[in-house]
Amino acid sequence: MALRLTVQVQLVVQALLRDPAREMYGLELSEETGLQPGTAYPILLRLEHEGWVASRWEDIDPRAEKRPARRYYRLTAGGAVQAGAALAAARRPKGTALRRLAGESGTA
Amino acid sequence: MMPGIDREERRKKHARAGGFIALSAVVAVTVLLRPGYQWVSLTVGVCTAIAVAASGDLPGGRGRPGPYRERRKKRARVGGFIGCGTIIISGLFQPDWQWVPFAVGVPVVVAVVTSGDLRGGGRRGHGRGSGLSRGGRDDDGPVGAAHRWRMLAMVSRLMPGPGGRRWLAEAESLLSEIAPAGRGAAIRSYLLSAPGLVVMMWAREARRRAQLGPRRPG
Repeated sequence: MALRLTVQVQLVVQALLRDPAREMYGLELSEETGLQPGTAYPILLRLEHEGWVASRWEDIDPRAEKRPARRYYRLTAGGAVQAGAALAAARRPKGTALRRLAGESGTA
Repeated sequence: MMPGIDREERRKKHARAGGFIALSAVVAVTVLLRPGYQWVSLTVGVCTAIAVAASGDLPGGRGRPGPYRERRKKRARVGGFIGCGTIIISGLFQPDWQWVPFAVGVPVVVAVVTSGDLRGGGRRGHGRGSGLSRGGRDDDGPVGAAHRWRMLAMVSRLMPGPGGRRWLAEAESLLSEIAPAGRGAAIRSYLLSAPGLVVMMWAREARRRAQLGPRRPG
Protein backbone atom coordinates (compact mmCIF):
# COMPACT_ATOMS: atom_id res chain seq x y z
CA MET A 1 0.00 0.00 0.00
CA ALA A 2 1.47 3.36 -1.05
CA LEU A 3 2.12 5.95 1.62
CA ARG A 4 -0.30 8.88 1.55
CA LEU A 5 1.64 12.08 2.02
CA THR A 6 -0.75 14.02 4.26
CA VAL A 7 0.27 17.32 5.81
CA GLN A 8 1.22 15.54 9.04
CA VAL A 9 3.33 12.99 7.19
CA GLN A 10 5.03 15.83 5.32
CA LEU A 11 5.82 17.57 8.60
CA VAL A 12 7.44 14.44 10.03
CA VAL A 13 9.37 13.74 6.84
CA GLN A 14 10.55 17.36 6.67
CA ALA A 15 11.78 17.22 10.25
CA LEU A 16 13.71 14.04 9.54
CA LEU A 17 15.05 15.39 6.25
CA ARG A 18 16.53 18.49 7.85
CA ASP A 19 19.46 16.34 8.92
CA PRO A 20 19.01 12.83 7.51
CA ALA A 21 21.93 11.42 9.48
CA ARG A 22 20.55 12.65 12.78
CA GLU A 23 18.52 10.33 14.98
CA MET A 24 15.43 11.80 16.61
CA TYR A 25 13.20 10.42 19.33
CA GLY A 26 9.44 10.78 19.63
CA LEU A 27 9.28 13.83 21.89
CA GLU A 28 11.90 15.66 19.86
CA LEU A 29 9.98 14.97 16.68
CA SER A 30 6.66 16.02 18.12
CA GLU A 31 8.18 19.27 19.40
CA GLU A 32 9.77 19.98 16.05
CA THR A 33 6.65 19.24 14.03
CA GLY A 34 4.09 20.59 16.50
CA LEU A 35 2.23 17.28 16.31
CA GLN A 36 0.99 15.44 19.37
CA PRO A 37 3.11 12.34 20.12
CA GLY A 38 0.11 10.09 19.56
CA THR A 39 -0.29 11.53 16.07
CA ALA A 40 3.38 11.23 15.20
CA TYR A 41 3.68 7.58 16.28
CA PRO A 42 1.43 5.99 13.60
CA ILE A 43 3.16 8.12 10.96
CA LEU A 44 6.57 6.92 12.07
CA LEU A 45 5.32 3.36 12.11
CA ARG A 46 4.00 3.68 8.55
CA LEU A 47 7.27 5.25 7.40
CA GLU A 48 9.11 2.37 9.03
CA HIS A 49 6.90 -0.20 7.30
CA GLU A 50 7.62 1.52 3.99
CA GLY A 51 11.35 1.28 4.71
CA TRP A 52 11.88 5.04 4.76
CA VAL A 53 12.74 5.12 8.44
CA ALA A 54 14.73 2.84 10.72
CA SER A 55 14.37 2.84 14.48
CA ARG A 56 16.17 1.44 17.48
CA TRP A 57 15.88 1.49 21.24
CA GLU A 58 18.44 3.60 23.03
CA ASP A 59 21.02 1.48 24.81
CA ILE A 60 21.07 2.91 28.32
CA ASP A 61 20.58 1.78 31.89
CA PRO A 62 17.21 3.35 32.80
CA ARG A 63 18.08 3.32 36.52
CA ALA A 64 21.33 5.17 36.01
CA GLU A 65 19.75 7.68 33.64
CA LYS A 66 16.57 7.90 35.72
CA ARG A 67 14.40 7.71 32.62
CA PRO A 68 13.23 4.96 30.28
CA ALA A 69 15.10 4.28 27.06
CA ARG A 70 14.07 6.36 24.07
CA ARG A 71 13.24 5.01 20.66
CA TYR A 72 15.29 6.78 18.03
CA TYR A 73 14.24 7.22 14.41
CA ARG A 74 16.31 8.18 11.39
CA LEU A 75 15.82 8.16 7.65
CA THR A 76 17.37 5.25 5.79
CA ALA A 77 19.56 6.02 2.77
CA GLY A 78 16.84 4.95 0.36
CA GLY A 79 14.19 6.59 2.52
CA ALA A 80 15.91 9.96 2.36
CA VAL A 81 15.91 9.87 -1.45
CA GLN A 82 12.33 8.68 -1.66
CA ALA A 83 11.13 11.15 0.96
CA GLY A 84 12.83 14.06 -0.80
CA ALA A 85 11.27 13.08 -4.11
CA ALA A 86 7.84 12.56 -2.57
CA LEU A 87 7.96 15.92 -0.81
CA ALA A 88 8.95 17.66 -4.02
CA ALA A 89 6.11 15.93 -5.85
CA ALA A 90 3.65 16.85 -3.11
CA ARG A 91 4.60 20.50 -3.36
CA ARG A 92 4.45 20.68 -7.14
CA PRO A 93 0.68 20.48 -7.71
CA LYS A 94 0.15 23.11 -5.05
CA GLY A 95 2.48 25.50 -6.91
CA THR A 96 0.76 24.74 -10.21
CA ALA A 97 -2.64 25.34 -8.68
CA LEU A 98 -1.49 28.64 -7.23
CA ARG A 99 -0.08 29.76 -10.57
CA ARG A 100 -3.33 28.77 -12.29
CA LEU A 101 -5.32 30.70 -9.70
CA ALA A 102 -3.04 33.71 -10.13
CA GLY A 103 -3.51 33.43 -13.92
CA GLU A 104 -7.28 33.25 -13.60
CA SER A 105 -7.40 36.29 -11.33
CA GLY A 106 -5.09 38.15 -13.78
CA THR A 107 -7.35 37.48 -16.77
CA ALA A 108 -10.53 38.29 -14.86
CA MET B 1 8.37 6.91 36.40
CA MET B 2 5.83 9.67 36.77
CA PRO B 3 6.46 11.21 40.17
CA GLY B 4 3.58 13.70 39.95
CA ILE B 5 1.08 10.95 39.34
CA ASP B 6 2.50 8.75 42.09
CA ARG B 7 2.31 11.58 44.60
CA GLU B 8 -1.26 12.36 43.67
CA GLU B 9 -2.23 8.68 43.79
CA ARG B 10 -0.69 8.34 47.24
CA ARG B 11 -2.49 11.44 48.48
CA LYS B 12 -5.72 10.01 47.14
CA LYS B 13 -5.07 6.74 48.96
CA HIS B 14 -4.28 8.56 52.19
CA ALA B 15 -7.56 10.45 51.96
CA ARG B 16 -9.48 7.27 51.16
CA ALA B 17 -7.89 5.36 54.05
CA GLY B 18 -8.49 8.23 56.49
CA GLY B 19 -12.10 8.48 55.44
CA PHE B 20 -12.52 4.74 55.78
CA ILE B 21 -11.08 4.66 59.30
CA ALA B 22 -13.18 7.59 60.50
CA LEU B 23 -16.35 6.28 58.91
CA SER B 24 -15.88 2.74 60.21
CA ALA B 25 -15.20 4.03 63.71
CA VAL B 26 -18.29 6.22 63.71
CA VAL B 27 -20.52 3.47 62.31
CA ALA B 28 -19.15 0.84 64.69
CA VAL B 29 -19.43 3.01 67.78
CA THR B 30 -22.77 4.68 67.16
CA VAL B 31 -24.75 2.05 65.31
CA LEU B 32 -23.33 -1.43 65.75
CA LEU B 33 -21.81 -1.35 69.22
CA ARG B 34 -22.63 0.21 72.54
CA PRO B 35 -20.42 3.25 73.00
CA GLY B 36 -17.51 2.21 75.18
CA TYR B 37 -13.85 3.28 75.14
CA GLN B 38 -12.53 -0.23 74.70
CA TRP B 39 -14.67 -0.66 71.59
CA VAL B 40 -13.53 2.68 70.19
CA SER B 41 -9.86 1.76 70.44
CA LEU B 42 -10.49 -1.75 69.12
CA THR B 43 -12.51 -0.48 66.17
CA VAL B 44 -10.06 2.28 65.29
CA GLY B 45 -7.11 -0.13 65.59
CA VAL B 46 -8.68 -2.86 63.49
CA CYS B 47 -9.90 -0.39 60.86
CA THR B 48 -6.48 1.24 60.62
CA ALA B 49 -4.78 -2.12 60.15
CA ILE B 50 -7.29 -3.13 57.49
CA ALA B 51 -7.07 0.22 55.73
CA VAL B 52 -3.29 0.12 55.57
CA ALA B 53 -3.36 -3.46 54.32
CA ALA B 54 -6.06 -2.70 51.80
CA SER B 55 -4.49 0.44 50.41
CA GLY B 56 -1.20 -1.21 49.54
CA ASP B 57 1.73 1.16 49.17
CA LEU B 58 0.37 3.76 51.56
CA PRO B 59 3.41 3.97 53.82
CA GLY B 60 6.22 5.06 51.50
CA GLY B 61 5.02 3.64 48.20
CA ARG B 62 7.81 2.50 45.94
CA GLY B 63 6.47 3.45 42.58
CA ARG B 64 4.53 1.37 40.14
CA PRO B 65 6.05 -1.80 38.80
CA GLY B 66 3.49 -2.13 36.03
CA PRO B 67 -0.24 -1.89 35.52
CA TYR B 68 -0.93 -5.62 35.33
CA ARG B 69 1.13 -6.57 38.36
CA GLU B 70 -0.38 -3.67 40.28
CA ARG B 71 -3.93 -4.80 39.47
CA ARG B 72 -3.18 -8.39 40.46
CA LYS B 73 -1.67 -7.22 43.73
CA LYS B 74 -4.67 -5.03 44.40
CA ARG B 75 -7.09 -7.88 43.75
CA ALA B 76 -5.22 -10.10 46.21
CA ARG B 77 -5.24 -7.30 48.76
CA VAL B 78 -8.97 -6.72 48.37
CA GLY B 79 -9.64 -10.46 48.67
CA GLY B 80 -7.61 -10.56 51.87
CA PHE B 81 -9.41 -7.53 53.17
CA ILE B 82 -12.84 -9.05 52.54
CA GLY B 83 -11.85 -12.28 54.27
CA CYS B 84 -10.31 -10.43 57.19
CA GLY B 85 -13.32 -8.14 57.56
CA THR B 86 -15.71 -11.08 57.50
CA ILE B 87 -13.82 -12.84 60.29
CA ILE B 88 -13.62 -9.72 62.46
CA ILE B 89 -17.30 -8.86 62.09
CA SER B 90 -18.30 -12.49 62.68
CA GLY B 91 -16.14 -12.50 65.81
CA LEU B 92 -17.63 -9.30 67.15
CA PHE B 93 -21.19 -10.54 66.83
CA GLN B 94 -22.73 -13.82 67.85
CA PRO B 95 -22.03 -16.33 65.09
CA ASP B 96 -25.64 -16.65 64.02
CA TRP B 97 -26.73 -17.24 60.44
CA GLN B 98 -28.52 -13.90 60.21
CA TRP B 99 -25.18 -12.12 60.70
CA VAL B 100 -23.37 -13.93 57.90
CA PRO B 101 -24.69 -11.84 54.98
CA PHE B 102 -23.96 -8.72 57.00
CA ALA B 103 -20.46 -9.92 57.93
CA VAL B 104 -19.66 -10.66 54.28
CA GLY B 105 -21.56 -7.72 52.81
CA VAL B 106 -19.93 -4.93 54.81
CA PRO B 107 -16.31 -5.79 53.87
CA VAL B 108 -17.32 -6.29 50.25
CA VAL B 109 -18.98 -2.87 50.11
CA VAL B 110 -16.07 -1.22 51.91
CA ALA B 111 -13.57 -2.99 49.63
CA VAL B 112 -15.37 -1.86 46.50
CA VAL B 113 -15.54 1.72 47.77
CA THR B 114 -11.94 1.91 48.97
CA SER B 115 -10.35 0.11 46.06
CA GLY B 116 -11.62 2.70 43.56
CA ASP B 117 -9.43 1.89 40.57
CA LEU B 118 -9.69 -1.90 40.82
CA ARG B 119 -11.74 -2.12 37.67
CA GLY B 120 -9.36 -0.09 35.61
CA GLY B 121 -11.35 3.12 35.87
CA GLY B 122 -11.55 4.65 39.32
CA ARG B 123 -13.61 7.33 37.68
CA ARG B 124 -16.57 6.86 39.94
CA GLY B 125 -15.04 8.84 42.78
CA HIS B 126 -14.02 11.73 40.59
CA GLY B 127 -17.25 12.34 38.77
CA ARG B 128 -15.44 12.56 35.46
CA GLY B 129 -15.94 11.05 32.08
CA SER B 130 -13.51 8.83 30.32
CA GLY B 131 -10.27 10.23 28.99
CA LEU B 132 -11.79 10.67 25.59
CA SER B 133 -14.99 12.39 26.55
CA ARG B 134 -13.64 15.51 28.16
CA GLY B 135 -13.79 17.85 25.23
CA GLY B 136 -10.04 18.18 24.82
CA ARG B 137 -9.42 19.91 28.15
CA ASP B 138 -5.94 19.70 29.65
CA ASP B 139 -6.78 20.78 33.18
CA ASP B 140 -7.64 17.39 34.65
CA GLY B 141 -4.29 17.16 36.39
CA PRO B 142 -2.18 14.14 37.17
CA VAL B 143 -5.05 12.02 38.49
CA GLY B 144 -6.87 12.18 35.17
CA ALA B 145 -3.62 11.41 33.44
CA ALA B 146 -3.18 8.35 35.69
CA HIS B 147 -6.58 7.04 34.68
CA ARG B 148 -5.79 7.53 31.04
CA TRP B 149 -2.44 5.85 31.60
CA ARG B 150 -4.32 2.74 32.68
CA MET B 151 -6.44 3.04 29.57
CA LEU B 152 -3.24 3.10 27.50
CA ALA B 153 -2.20 -0.19 29.06
CA MET B 154 -5.59 -1.70 28.29
CA VAL B 155 -5.60 -0.42 24.71
CA SER B 156 -2.13 -1.85 24.11
CA ARG B 157 -3.63 -5.29 24.73
CA LEU B 158 -5.86 -4.84 21.70
CA MET B 159 -2.80 -4.63 19.47
CA PRO B 160 -0.78 -7.62 18.28
CA GLY B 161 1.64 -8.63 21.07
CA PRO B 162 5.00 -7.11 20.08
CA GLY B 163 3.38 -4.07 18.46
CA GLY B 164 1.32 -3.35 21.56
CA ARG B 165 4.29 -3.75 23.86
CA ARG B 166 6.40 -1.43 21.73
CA TRP B 167 3.61 1.17 21.56
CA LEU B 168 3.18 1.13 25.32
CA ALA B 169 6.91 1.23 26.00
CA GLU B 170 7.35 4.16 23.66
CA ALA B 171 4.40 5.99 25.17
CA GLU B 172 5.83 5.38 28.64
CA SER B 173 9.24 6.64 27.57
CA LEU B 174 7.80 9.77 26.02
CA LEU B 175 5.37 10.52 28.83
CA SER B 176 8.10 10.29 31.43
CA GLU B 177 9.95 13.13 29.70
CA ILE B 178 7.08 15.36 28.69
CA ALA B 179 6.15 18.36 30.86
CA PRO B 180 3.34 17.53 33.32
CA ALA B 181 1.11 20.20 31.80
CA GLY B 182 1.17 18.51 28.42
CA ARG B 183 0.97 14.94 29.67
CA GLY B 184 -2.82 14.73 29.63
CA ALA B 185 -3.02 15.95 26.04
CA ALA B 186 -0.25 13.57 24.99
CA ILE B 187 -1.99 10.55 26.53
CA ARG B 188 -5.25 11.65 24.93
CA SER B 189 -3.54 11.86 21.55
CA TYR B 190 -2.21 8.33 22.00
CA LEU B 191 -5.70 7.10 22.87
CA LEU B 192 -7.31 8.91 19.96
CA SER B 193 -4.88 7.48 17.45
CA ALA B 194 -5.13 3.99 18.97
CA PRO B 195 -8.16 2.67 17.01
CA GLY B 196 -6.52 3.41 13.66
CA LEU B 197 -3.28 1.97 14.91
CA VAL B 198 -5.00 -1.23 16.10
CA VAL B 199 -6.57 -1.69 12.68
CA MET B 200 -3.29 -0.93 10.91
CA MET B 201 -1.29 -3.31 13.08
CA TRP B 202 -3.76 -6.19 12.76
CA ALA B 203 -4.05 -5.67 9.00
CA ARG B 204 -0.30 -5.91 8.74
CA GLU B 205 -0.25 -8.93 11.04
CA ALA B 206 -2.96 -10.61 8.92
CA ARG B 207 -0.95 -9.95 5.75
CA ARG B 208 2.14 -11.36 7.41
CA ARG B 209 0.32 -14.50 8.49
CA ALA B 210 -1.24 -14.92 5.05
CA GLN B 211 2.23 -14.73 3.52
CA LEU B 212 3.47 -17.39 5.93
CA GLY B 213 0.66 -19.68 4.81
CA PRO B 214 -1.55 -22.03 6.82
CA ARG B 215 -0.05 -23.69 9.86
CA ARG B 216 0.58 -27.40 9.57
CA PRO B 217 -0.03 -29.60 12.58
CA GLY B 218 3.04 -31.26 14.06
